[in-house]
Amino acid sequence: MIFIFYAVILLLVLLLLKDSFKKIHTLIAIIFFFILLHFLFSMLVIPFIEKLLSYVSSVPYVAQLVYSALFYQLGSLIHSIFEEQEYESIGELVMIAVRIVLLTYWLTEFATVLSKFSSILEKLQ
Amino acid sequence: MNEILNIFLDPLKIAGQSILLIITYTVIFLTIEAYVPKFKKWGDTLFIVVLVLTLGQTVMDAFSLMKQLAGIFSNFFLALYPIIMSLLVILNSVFSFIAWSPIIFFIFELLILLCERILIPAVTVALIFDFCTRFIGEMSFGKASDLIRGSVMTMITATVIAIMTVLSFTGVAFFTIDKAIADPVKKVIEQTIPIVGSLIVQGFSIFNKYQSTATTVAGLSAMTAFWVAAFYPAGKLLIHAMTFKLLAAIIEPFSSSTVSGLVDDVGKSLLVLCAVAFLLGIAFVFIWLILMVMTQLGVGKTF
Repeated sequence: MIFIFYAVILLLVLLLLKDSFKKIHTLIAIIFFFILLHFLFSMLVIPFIEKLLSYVSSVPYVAQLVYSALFYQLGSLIHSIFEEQEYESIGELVMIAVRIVLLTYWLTEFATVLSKFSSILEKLQ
Repeated sequence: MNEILNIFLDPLKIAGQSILLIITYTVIFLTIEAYVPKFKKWGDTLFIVVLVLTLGQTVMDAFSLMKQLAGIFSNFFLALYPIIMSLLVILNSVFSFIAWSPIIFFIFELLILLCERILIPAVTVALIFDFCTRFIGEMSFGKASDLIRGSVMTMITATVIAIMTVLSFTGVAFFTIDKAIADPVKKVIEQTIPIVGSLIVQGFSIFNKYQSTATTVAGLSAMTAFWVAAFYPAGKLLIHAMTFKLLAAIIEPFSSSTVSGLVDDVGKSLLVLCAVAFLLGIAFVFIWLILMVMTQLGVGKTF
């Protein structure tokens, strides 16, 4: 709930800024975005993930899955900031970077299975 | 005692573990989808990756078990043929009684060959086809993998029918247990265990003739040990296969049809392996029983 109040207050401040200082409005909006993001993560997301992971601590790969979903979400948030400023191509670059990082991580996890698969192919030859 | 118990509990533990793992993963993926809806496309792929990572070990175990089994049985049969053949020659009087045995050996040898050269590569290829079908999406190799599994199963069934035909020609396979008790039991086993059920039942009816003689030679506990040793790998494979079937049934409502279909296909492939392991077990027990009966006949005991 507190987070919603923060968001509403910042929205009001932003509206005020939009009327009075049009020129620095977008700059302030981006700064506010990161402040809100920080609040969101420290107040809600991180505690939630920690709680979730504490329930399933013995199951492998759950932490990786949850954090990759979080990372993807972060990437798409930043992507939407770029889109708001009409820099779509830079936003797309961010998304590509996020995808590559996720793929790289999961490929290294998957590497043993892949090498086993290629060894099966060797046997078939 | 603990170790013997562990032999039986380990496959069940693995089964329970993987079922619990999959249920947890399903819940986790549903949670993730609830809070990051955009992640769904990734989630489906990652679900397959996680499945392969956690359950792949079980599949690999099943394959290596099958490979070891085929190796052990082929060595065992190769070592025993000269002994049995020389016994056949020495005990001339027995020859008419087991006149069909060379054909039986030929069929068993065929079974071993089938396992080592055809079965494992074929089932592996079928698994890879299944994986590609599910992962690539636009391209479907479903028919191909079904064809491979079907033809392997057909070959195995043909071998079994060959064994049964040879046995029934010579009139060796008949029941000594009361038919009224045996028939319902046979029906139940046939219906509860798909594909391999009828094989098990056939195997039982063959051994009934020799079982009592062999028990007097080897003792009840030794015979039990034989039976367990012969059918333990097959039982383990059956538990693995059934685990995958059950997993497919559990996750079907929650995940995409891709994932549950893949798990179901893996279960099908493992069932084929399991059927072959059962046949090998039957062959193993059969050879031992023949050996015991011939020893008995050799020392002059009559039936």
